[in-house]
Amino acid sequence: MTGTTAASVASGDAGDAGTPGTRRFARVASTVLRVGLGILWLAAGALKINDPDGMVRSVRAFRILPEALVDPVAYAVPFVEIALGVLLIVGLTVRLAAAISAVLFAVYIAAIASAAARGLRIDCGCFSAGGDLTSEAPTHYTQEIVRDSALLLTSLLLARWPAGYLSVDRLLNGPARQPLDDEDDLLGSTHGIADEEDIADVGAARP
Amino acid sequence: MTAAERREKVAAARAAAAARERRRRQLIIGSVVAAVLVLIGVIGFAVQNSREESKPVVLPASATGPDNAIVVGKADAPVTLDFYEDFQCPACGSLERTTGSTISDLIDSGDIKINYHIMSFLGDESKRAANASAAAANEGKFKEFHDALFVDQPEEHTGGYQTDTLIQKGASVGLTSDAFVSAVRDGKYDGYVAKVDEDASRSGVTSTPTVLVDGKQLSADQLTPDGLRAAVSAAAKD
Repeated sequence: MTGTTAASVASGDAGDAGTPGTRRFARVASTVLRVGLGILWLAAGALKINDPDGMVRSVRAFRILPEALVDPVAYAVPFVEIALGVLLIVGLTVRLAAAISAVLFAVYIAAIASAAARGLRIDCGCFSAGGDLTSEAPTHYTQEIVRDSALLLTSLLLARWPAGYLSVDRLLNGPARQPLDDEDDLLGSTHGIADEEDIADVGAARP
Repeated sequence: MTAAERREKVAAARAAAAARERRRRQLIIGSVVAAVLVLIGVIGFAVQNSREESKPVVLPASATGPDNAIVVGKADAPVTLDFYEDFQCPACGSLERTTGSTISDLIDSGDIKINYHIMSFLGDESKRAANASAAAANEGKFKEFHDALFVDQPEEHTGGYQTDTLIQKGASVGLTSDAFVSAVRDGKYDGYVAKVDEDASRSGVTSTPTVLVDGKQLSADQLTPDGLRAAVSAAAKD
């Protein structure tokens, strides 16, 4: 009985390796990625929030958005970044936060790539307000795109495997009681990947 | 149906109900969080917008150029240049060192007039210097003060162009009036400085120094004494 339950948990995990050891590794890795990405968002937002002028210049320098949208986007983005950071660090709606992160990084990559393609000389403003560069200053488009791509990948991994330790999601949903299909898990709570103890609980609860 | 089968069925139904409940709860939590994120964005916009409450724009006397640029040179000069500079920008400093005397010669000979758009995006040092240069413009000594500031330009982002330094710089070019000193101290032209920077950014200036000759932007390798003279005489022939 216990054996089949464990097997079904593993298969319900859709894509995770089957053994409890690898599942635990996946959760630890997910937790590390989650907190790391959260701290990064916090830092990125905090560095920009006190320089609204610079953000406006930075957003405008990309020459993508129409003038009417430059101020709203420039003003709102640092706040949203900080909010994402908080969500990820405390582990609330991890899957949603990771998906939004992925979308943001994809947008940033597209913007930087388009600026590079058009030969604009701008500082991306990723970790500062950025903006126009003097004509002598170097651009760092390649590094910026590589870095944001790594962060995009991180976000996607986290959206796929959001369940980790030390998260509010885990408190809200509790550890697994039943093996569930992956698609039940809209926000990445923890029950998709049950701990060994949880599996033992299930086994024990059954007659 | 055996008792065991019934128990299995009940357990399965219970599990399905629990899964539905969980899903519903996650949907609600997710929607609330998404709504809060949007709200935070809106609040952020409002907060930053109110911080941007701009100071009153006081125009200095010679700010008669396009976008309230400060005009230097004879009004009937055949060629008009637009200079976009930030007093902290190292590239502007090197342009002034290599080409500053050529620029002054061309102004003095009446060949060109210059609309100076003093930008201030490199930080508070730039803003202080720009405010002081507007105060100098109001007294008709913009060019002298501008040149003096570039003579020993402080390193970028090192807290240069302090108020006292700017007042001393002013005194060195004969700006000693109380009006100048108090304008430097009180940031009288802060609103003007912000407006000029904003206008420059809006008109698509993406780096400093940017130099336009009769509206056409010079490339970086034209920003030399010879390059500038050639561009000016070409523009004069048109």
